[in-house]
Parts: sequence; structure tokens; C-alpha cells
Amino acid sequence: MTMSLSMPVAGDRRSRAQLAIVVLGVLLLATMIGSLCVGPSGLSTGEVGQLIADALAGRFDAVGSTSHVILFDIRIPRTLLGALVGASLAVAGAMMQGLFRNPLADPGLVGVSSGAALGAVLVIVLGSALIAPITGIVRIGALPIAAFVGGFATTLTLYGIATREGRTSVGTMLLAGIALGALAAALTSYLVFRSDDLQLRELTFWSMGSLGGATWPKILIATPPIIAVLALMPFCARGLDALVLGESEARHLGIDTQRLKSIVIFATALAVGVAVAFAGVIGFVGIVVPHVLRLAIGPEHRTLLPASALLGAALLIAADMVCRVIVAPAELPIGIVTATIGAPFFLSILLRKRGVVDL
Amino acid sequence: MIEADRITIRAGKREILSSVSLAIQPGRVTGIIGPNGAGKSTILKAISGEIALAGGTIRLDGADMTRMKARHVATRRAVLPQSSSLAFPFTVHEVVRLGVSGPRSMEAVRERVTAALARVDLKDYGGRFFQELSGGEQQRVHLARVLCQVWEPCPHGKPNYLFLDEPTASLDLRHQLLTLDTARDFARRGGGVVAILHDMNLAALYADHIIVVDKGRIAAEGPPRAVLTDAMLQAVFGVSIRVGQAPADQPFILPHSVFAA
Repeated sequence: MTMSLSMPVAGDRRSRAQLAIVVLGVLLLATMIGSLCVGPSGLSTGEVGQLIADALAGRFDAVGSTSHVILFDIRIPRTLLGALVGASLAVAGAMMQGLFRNPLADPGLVGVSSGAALGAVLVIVLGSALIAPITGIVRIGALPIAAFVGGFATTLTLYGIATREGRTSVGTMLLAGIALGALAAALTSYLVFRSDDLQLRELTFWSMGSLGGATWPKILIATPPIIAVLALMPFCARGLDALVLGESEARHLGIDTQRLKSIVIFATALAVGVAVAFAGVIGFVGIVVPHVLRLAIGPEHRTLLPASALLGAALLIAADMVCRVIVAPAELPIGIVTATIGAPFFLSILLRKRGVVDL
Repeated sequence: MIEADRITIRAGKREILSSVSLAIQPGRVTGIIGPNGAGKSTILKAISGEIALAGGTIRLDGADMTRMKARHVATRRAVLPQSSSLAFPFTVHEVVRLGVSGPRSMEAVRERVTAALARVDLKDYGGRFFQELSGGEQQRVHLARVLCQVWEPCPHGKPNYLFLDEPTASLDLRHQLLTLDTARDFARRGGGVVAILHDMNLAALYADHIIVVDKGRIAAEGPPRAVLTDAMLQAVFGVSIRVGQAPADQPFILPHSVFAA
């Protein structure tokens, strides 16, 4: 094992990062187990263990019982959705910050999530009222596609506005993001205004985010694109590192920067699109997770991206547990929890970097 | 050899470079000098593929460089930028490691990085944060990174190239000399070096071949002694001063006034 035997060299944080990834993996596992055991129904940890052991052993006596339904049709899909969404949001944040060379770029903050939400809301409102009633699995599939298109268009526009001759202006990026987000939110509001009661219920969910709607078909549809995004991580890690030096410097180091930018914009939009389609707009995960990890293990994307996926997943599952417990039997929208943690965090980065970040 | 053949570069309608031809020969240090706005940096940007050509060709060992993949070009030449800032807290070690590419063992990479840092006189700086260094130290970290990229000046008889854009700009005297010593050593071992230099004494001291750029054209080129003349300084730089002779038999320039006394 290279990580324990090799001599430490000053400034080389890779071994530490690899160790951290292992620790984060364990943390994620623990959070997932915790999430299966927590909920308003009072299903005990012992029962959960028994049900899982039975299922693993191929005994399905409990199928159809209330506790079986709670565990297998509610808690497991919900936990998995939390892991998928948390991982995508954190990775999308880390990638976007690398692309913009700025720690404050976050899909939620710069309007990408709003763009994705607009896409999804278009499907909900227009899809059922104006075009043709689309339902069932087709609708579950159409949501992430529309959200992806919305997120992709927003990211592309944002990058086009904020970047000139390879230099990205932070001020322009944040302000353009606010404008794009406001525009998308205005259109979304108009659609909400035009929608009927049933649609309205579904739409409120977008604004604050929730893992409550998790079902197996959603998991099945959300998994492949998110796996695809995670699989792209190793292919853009070195490129994103080089990009930190500047776009022409990256090209001098042999990076095909056009290709890299396309991959990153595509991956970010896909990750945010899927996350928003199934869990609504959840802010700040993409900013908090990569920032904490950069402090702990360094900013090299080869380790930062996988570590972000693990910590993002664990953090969102943990936040969801808080949502389920804190006002039980009611549920708090998860966006409230992440914003409560994330906004002060964002401000603290700003305060510390006031001299460095020129707005 | 890198050959630029009648390259023209336009910014809008204005020609920044007009039909410039030059050759970067391996085994020597080519110094580019010229007044502000003459097109020195543009030449370097053109041959490093940073800006599109409006005309002409650039060849590396006879192959069209503009058609080569960035990945391939990067194995043959490294470019030292004038300055560059980092948005994230990279350590010096991590910045230098960016220059090392290809599959190598972690141990070999560490050795390479450590050796490169020693070369630029930053032996114990690996663990420092890049952002916390002074401008001159940051410049030397980048030099170490660039050296890592083309570590062997001439592997298997194929020369590599170093492009240096004002490598001595923010350095103190000791490190100006050290940097150019490193460049000259790279050339002596078979590599090719191009450096934009402002200090004509350093150009005279270190360059084997000097290219004088003026108003987007090459005004003169040749060995320092042939190029650095009173007439050239008057015609290109607009200063009437005499070129003297000192250390050894190299020409040296002592600027005392823009106008003749």
C-alpha cells in the first residue's frame, strides 16, 4: 500500500486524501444505515436489521406488512435518492468551481438549479395542461431530460457571459447568475400562477427541495446519468487542476480545453438536472462540501471529486434525517436545512476572501 | 527545429505580425528583444499555439504544429507564463506536479518534483502555499513546473523546447542569473530555448542568437555581437548610446540617457 509506506514529502497531500476517501466511504455507509433506522413510524433498529437479514437470506415472509413497506418502499429508496442527489450536487459544485476557477460558483447560486427547475416545471404544467397528458414512467423520464436541458442552457449562457479570452470574471459570473436565476424563477412563477391546484402541490416541492417523493422507478431513472457523471470524474481531474493556472496555461500543459469545458458543462448540467428533477432545488451542498474538502485534503481534483461525491451523499442523507425527525410527524423541506447550514458558510468564505475576490 | 514561415497575425484589421519567419534551433538560446508593443509576446503566443494565424505556417520537425494535438505538443515544449494566479490553495509541490504527466510511479513523480524545486533554488518550499509566496518565488515555482514538463532536453535525439516569456521580470539578480543558467544548460544539453528578454545585457550574456522585433517585423537577427550595435539601438529603440565591451569580450549596454548628451 503506497499510502502507508511511502515517506511523506512536504506539500504532497495525496496520501492523506486517499485516506480521507476511505474514511468518507465509511461515514457514508454509517449515515445510510442510520437513515434506514430513523423515521416517524417507530420502526426499530432491530426490526430493520431483521427485515434486511431476511431479505438477504431470501426469506420474504414479511412482504406486504407495514414494516416491510416502510423499509423497502420508503426508507431505502429515500436513502438511495439522498445519496444520488447529494453526490451529484457536491460533484457538480466542485466541477463548476474548477471550471470557473472560483470557490463561490455553485449551481444553486448562479442560477443553474433555477434553470433546471424551470425545465422540470415546464413539463409539469405544460405537459399535463397544454400539450398532451403525459403520465407514469414517461413523465418520470421527461422530468430529468427537461431539467437537464434547462440546466445546460443556463450553464452555457453563464459561461459565455462571464468568460472572456479565457479569463472568468467573478463579479460578472455571480451577477449574471443572479439575473439568469431571477429570469428562470420569474418564468417558473408565471407557470405556477397559471397552474391548477394539483400541479401547485407538486410545484411547491421544487422551491424548497425534498427527498420525500423517492420511489424505485425514480431511483432506476436517476442512477444511470449520475453514474455517468461520476464516471467522467477521472477524465476531467487533471484538466481541471491545470485549468486553475489559466486557460492558455492548461493548453500548454497538453489539455484540450475546449473538450474539457464541454465535458464539465455537460456533466454539471446532467448532475444538477437529475438532482433537481427528483429532489427539487437544494442549495449550498455544492459549495459547502468542496470547500471543506479543499481545506482538509487540498484542491487536487483527482481526490477532491470522489471525496465530494462521498461527503455530499453523506451530508444530504444526514440533513434528510434531521428533516424527518425535527418536526415529526411532519417533515421539514430539506432546502431549509441545507440553506441554514450553507448560507452562513458562504458568508464566512466571502469574509475571509474579501481581499482576494474582486467584485 | 521549430520553424515559423511567413506568419501573419491580425487583431481586427491591424497587423500585429507581418510575414515573420524565424527558426528556433535546438542547442541554442534564442533571445527575442524589441521595444514595447513590437510583437515579441505575439510571436511567442503564435509559436505556442495560443493565437490563430492569419497566414503562414509553423512546423515542428517538419510537421504542421497547428494541426498537432495539444497533448502531443505538450510533450515537446513547455511555456513559462509571465504571471499567473491561483484560485485554490495549492501547495508548491502540487503546482510543480502539474507539470509531470504520463503514468509514473508516485515515488518517481515525487523525486522529479523535488529535483525541479532544487533547480530553482526552492528546495524547502514544497509544503508552502503557492498563494503565500512573493511574485518572484511564484515565478520560480512555475519555472520548476515547466522544467518538469520537458525534463529531458533531448530524449532519444528529439529535442524539446522551452518558451520563456520574460523569465527574469520579477526576479532578483541572483535568480535572474540562475534562471538563465538553467535555460542555457537546457540548450547545451540539446534542447531549444526561446526567451523574451528586456535586459539587453542579459540577452548579450546568455543568448546564442538574438532576434530583434520592431513594429511586427524582424528588424535584425544574428549572434549578439552582430546584432547589438549602436545603429540598431538607434533605429529600433530610438536611443543614441554606445555599445561597450565588458565582461570578457561580450558586448554590454549601459543605459544612461535616452537622448545623446
